Amino acid sequence: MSGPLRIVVVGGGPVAARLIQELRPALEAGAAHVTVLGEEPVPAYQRIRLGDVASGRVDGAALALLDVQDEELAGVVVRCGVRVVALDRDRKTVLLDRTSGTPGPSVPYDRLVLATGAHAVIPDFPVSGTVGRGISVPAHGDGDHPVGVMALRDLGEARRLHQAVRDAEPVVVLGGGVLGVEAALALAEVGAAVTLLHRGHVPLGGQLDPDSGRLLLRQLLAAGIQVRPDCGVQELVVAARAQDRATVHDGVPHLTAIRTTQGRRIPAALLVACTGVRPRDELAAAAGLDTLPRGGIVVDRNGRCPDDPSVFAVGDCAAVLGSRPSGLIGPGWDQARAAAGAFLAEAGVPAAVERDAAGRPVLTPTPTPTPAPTGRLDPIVVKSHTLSVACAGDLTADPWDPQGPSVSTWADPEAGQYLRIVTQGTRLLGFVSIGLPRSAAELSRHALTGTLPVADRSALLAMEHAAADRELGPEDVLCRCSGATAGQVHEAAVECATVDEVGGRCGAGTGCGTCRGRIEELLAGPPVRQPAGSLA
Amino acid sequence: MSELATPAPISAPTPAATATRTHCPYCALQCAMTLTLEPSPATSPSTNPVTVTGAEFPTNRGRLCRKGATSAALLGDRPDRLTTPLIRDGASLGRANRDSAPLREATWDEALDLVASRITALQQSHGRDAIGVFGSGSLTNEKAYTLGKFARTALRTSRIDYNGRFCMASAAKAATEVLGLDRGLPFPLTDLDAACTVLLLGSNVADTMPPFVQHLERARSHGGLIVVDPRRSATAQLTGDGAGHHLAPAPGGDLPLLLSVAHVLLAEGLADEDYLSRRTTGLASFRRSVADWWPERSQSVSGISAGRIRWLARHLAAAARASKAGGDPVFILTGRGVEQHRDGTDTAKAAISLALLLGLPGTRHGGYGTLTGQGNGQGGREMGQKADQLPGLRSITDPADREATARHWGIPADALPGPGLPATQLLHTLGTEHGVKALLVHGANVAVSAPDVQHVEEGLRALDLLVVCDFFRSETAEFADVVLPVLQWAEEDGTLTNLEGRLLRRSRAVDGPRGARSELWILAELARRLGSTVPLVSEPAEVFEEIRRVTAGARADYAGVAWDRLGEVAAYWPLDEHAPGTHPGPPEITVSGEPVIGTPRVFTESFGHPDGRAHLGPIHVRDPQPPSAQGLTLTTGRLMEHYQSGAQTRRVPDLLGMHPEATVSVHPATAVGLRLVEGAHAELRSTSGSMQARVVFDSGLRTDTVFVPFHFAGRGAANRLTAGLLDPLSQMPEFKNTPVTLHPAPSVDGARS
Repeated sequence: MSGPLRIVVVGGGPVAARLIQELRPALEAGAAHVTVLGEEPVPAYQRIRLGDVASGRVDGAALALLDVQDEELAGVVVRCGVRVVALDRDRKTVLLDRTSGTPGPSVPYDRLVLATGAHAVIPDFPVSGTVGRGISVPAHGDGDHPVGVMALRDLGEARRLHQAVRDAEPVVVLGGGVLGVEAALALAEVGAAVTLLHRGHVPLGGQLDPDSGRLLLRQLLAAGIQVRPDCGVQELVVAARAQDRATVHDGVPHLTAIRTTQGRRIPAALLVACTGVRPRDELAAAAGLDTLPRGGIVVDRNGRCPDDPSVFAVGDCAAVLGSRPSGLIGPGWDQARAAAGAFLAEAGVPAAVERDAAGRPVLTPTPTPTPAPTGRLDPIVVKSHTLSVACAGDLTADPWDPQGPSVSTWADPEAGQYLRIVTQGTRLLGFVSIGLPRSAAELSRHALTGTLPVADRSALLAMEHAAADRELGPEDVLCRCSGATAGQVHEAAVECATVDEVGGRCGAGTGCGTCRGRIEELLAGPPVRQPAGSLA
Repeated sequence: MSELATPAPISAPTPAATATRTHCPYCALQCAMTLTLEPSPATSPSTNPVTVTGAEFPTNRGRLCRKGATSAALLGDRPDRLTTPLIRDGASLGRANRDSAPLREATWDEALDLVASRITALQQSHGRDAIGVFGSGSLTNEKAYTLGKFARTALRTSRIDYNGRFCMASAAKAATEVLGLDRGLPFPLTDLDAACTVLLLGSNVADTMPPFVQHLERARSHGGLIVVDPRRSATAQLTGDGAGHHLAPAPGGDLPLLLSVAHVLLAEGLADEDYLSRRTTGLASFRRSVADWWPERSQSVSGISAGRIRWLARHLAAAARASKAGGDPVFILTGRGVEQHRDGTDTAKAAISLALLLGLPGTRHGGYGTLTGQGNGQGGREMGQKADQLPGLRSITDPADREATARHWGIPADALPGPGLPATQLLHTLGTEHGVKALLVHGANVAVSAPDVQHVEEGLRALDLLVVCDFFRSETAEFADVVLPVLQWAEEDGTLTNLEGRLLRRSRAVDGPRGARSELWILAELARRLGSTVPLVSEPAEVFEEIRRVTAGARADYAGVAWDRLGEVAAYWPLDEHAPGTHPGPPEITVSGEPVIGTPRVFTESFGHPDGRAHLGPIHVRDPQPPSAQGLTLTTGRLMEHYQSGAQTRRVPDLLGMHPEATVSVHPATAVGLRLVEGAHAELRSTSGSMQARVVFDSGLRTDTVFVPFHFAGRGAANRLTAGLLDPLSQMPEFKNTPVTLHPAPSVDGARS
């Protein structure tokens, strides 16, 4: 191929940013040129941290993953606010929306990467209330949501939510999945009034076993979240203006409350719908590429479309080997790397090989995009400043089945603690940890390899708290530097008045000096002095 | 004390005891000590007449650890001391005869003639780079300097490196890249005394340099000692009783932990933006690279919970803020625990970056430092025995630096060789097509200390010539064709540069054995025999004067202090020859009374880069190694009782008695699953090899980590397990992160040293 490989990336999110990073060797070799076409007005940022932006604990600017000028220097053109309307696979170009079409309405590519992500699916709620000059709105559902109904997928939404928090407006979060729980927790942790509505008896019902679900429910209530289990939105109640601050939307229906399926009316300036996402595969589908019925562009392990070797898909829009996208960032990163590897090979840039001191290549495992055959689990760690919740894998095994996997459980609801570990041999099949941060950290780490070698599970619990100092016996070394035992020091202390004198006799306290306090205590202790000579 | 019990002989006047003030032979803390030579009664010449007592000095304040206190046991008449050159007959005939031919005694002339003639022959047939030189951070500045000069002027080989590549290369590289200068502690150690918060990353000072712990007293009394170590080491235990906090990251978790702490500082607006804008560049790219490391993600890699990560970031930020409001300083220190990894340079850079985010380095509010390990680990890396450096931290690839050095040595700059092979590559290619054919080893025991020692042993056997200079017959000497007996520590004069960049005088207190020679003399003799046009001097004081001239104007500038003033002043480099006595700030004297000259604090005005700023940059985490079948990771380290390869300390009965053989520390819960019994032996296996060690239970260890000290040889050598994996930036090998499996071992013999 003559000239650098022209790679066009549609979508400017975190997986696109990772792809650019992985392509660095090809960019440095001048073997590739990358154009990123992002729909959002800002370059890639760490979407997974939006909850912290909503709560105001993190400034959105701190989440930036790309700098347009730095990337330009590296050979990457990052265009923001650009909407792609169609792919022309025959001409190998992508067509841009006219309104964003500078410097041209189409962009040619040698390789196209679809990193379009997913969009939130917000149910069509019936609406009731009054707008404008007292005109009443009958309950209807035409897909156009009133102002105040939002997802939490981009910076604009996160900032809007933060505004509500600052204005002490009531917020309702709909959805008991990870995103819903995280959003509700983030708001409650900064003192905002928040209600969480979810289907099923417990939040995170799809990930947790019933007991840990009940504990999580209890902990969310304790965190100040109004949790309404087994509950959905019956209808939205709107008014012409939301309080007194919507000038641009004057006359447009604004959310003021929601009515739940249980018949309760809950005031709400914002309804944050965490009700699932759908992969954005419209461009691919319209271009005749294979997509899943429920969304997802079918690709191979390297992210390449089987129908068109010039087109790739990575991240939340990609269905690797036809399995539904997980929505997690880790697999997205792995896909970005796999696709970059394919491009490096095509561009003739040798993959960096690590060599040992003798010059032999070192074998490191290449992370395989999900679904991985290695038994690796993708852990879910709930992002919260107050509550430690982590889980992964399958928790449904019966603890009492001798033929089944091994199940260990620890529950202390009063202390807010629950731990369940499911293993088969050294394979980790699943776990949940609530209120046990150290165990959560260890187990989520093991989930990434899918193994758990330790036989005695109670060791994990023991690690939750630092080991306490124990009493020293006479044979135990008291001064590590000199090797003097507690017995020797005790003996010396009987005859000495100062720490230095003790040091002169047995060496204790003459090294690092950390035992000097102990020696002082011995010297100041109860008068155990015995008559001189009795020790001889 | 024994005057009454043993009256002096009447025939001779009682000679007075002579006391010599010097410094310890072991680590970089370089505790001051007094060696008192008692007049030895003629009736019992075998008793060691030298006693050691701690002396007042800022780093140790009169205290010594057990190694220092027993160091005199290595002096005097010892049957295992090398006192005459040894030659293996048939050495010149080829490798096949080596194992059958024993080492025999030889004269110095015979030994040196043999070495010179073999070197000449090998260079004639294989080129100048056929000869390798392996130096040490245990050599004095004078020896390290002369060794580098010998390699580049007499041998004219590029193939020189030293064992500091195993210890300091990553921290040195990180400091050079970020701060623009590699001085381990860029401030006097006693600055730590005032600290309320000290973050100690991967350093077990309570075992490795016990008198150091005094300087953590204030931090401990304020609950501010934070130790990061996979083990509840002796140092981690110092955080107990409210003295601080211990965090035990998973293998490979150090870097993600530090990056996520940086992430929290930046995300929560806790970084010192004013300092960052005044004194650093590159914040934006660093910020973007840590954006990926939010606490909940880091938790799944580092094993430290998200809450703890946030706590650490906020704790450090609060302490730094308090310090700037008139409170006590905050320090971040790294040791080998976080540095001896494939990503050691990145980890040290992350630690420095963290200190920069907090606005500490180069201010009165704290800073960053690395705790140098070997006695002259600091001076050793400045004197030009590093593959890519010339004396004074000059670069062997920088034309101006080459010119400056060559001019002093009286040779054209293009006669200087280029950069050579870093230590591990040098040792892992011995005798191969790409490797050296001959190796000269000085102050190192590579058959124990190098990673994958079996590979190194094969290489040593494959050499055409191995020359080992040592005072004991070390494990490496057993492979040698020529062993040259040298003087040690208290038998000679010299200078060292301690962990804070302070120059120290080592003083001769006793006579060495007749027959042993200084390496300075040996190198001068070899250079002469090799027909070198660049003469080498062999008097330490003269060599030091040469070092002053050669390093004048260099980054590690020693010009401003004379040999005979080293005992009177606290001289910190860089020591400008024109104004060594002046440094910014008020006149200062140390706690032991010496006036401070030179540069005790190097970054107060500016950092070492030409733009005067510290350079932040992106840091990316690389893939981990595949885990072992048991999911266990080996980390190696030091014991209180032993030093480095144990060549010295295993010969001190008091120390060997305390810890006579290799041990493997295992969490009891892990041991149960592997059917390991405390006190019995285990076999450890890795992709490189296997070793045996006695099992010790340690419930303060992570369940996925086992610990083996690296001081033992033979079947108990920890480096039979380590591999030659390298940090790509520093070429430092990974010692701390080896996937292993453990198995009950039936035999109990063989694990002893």
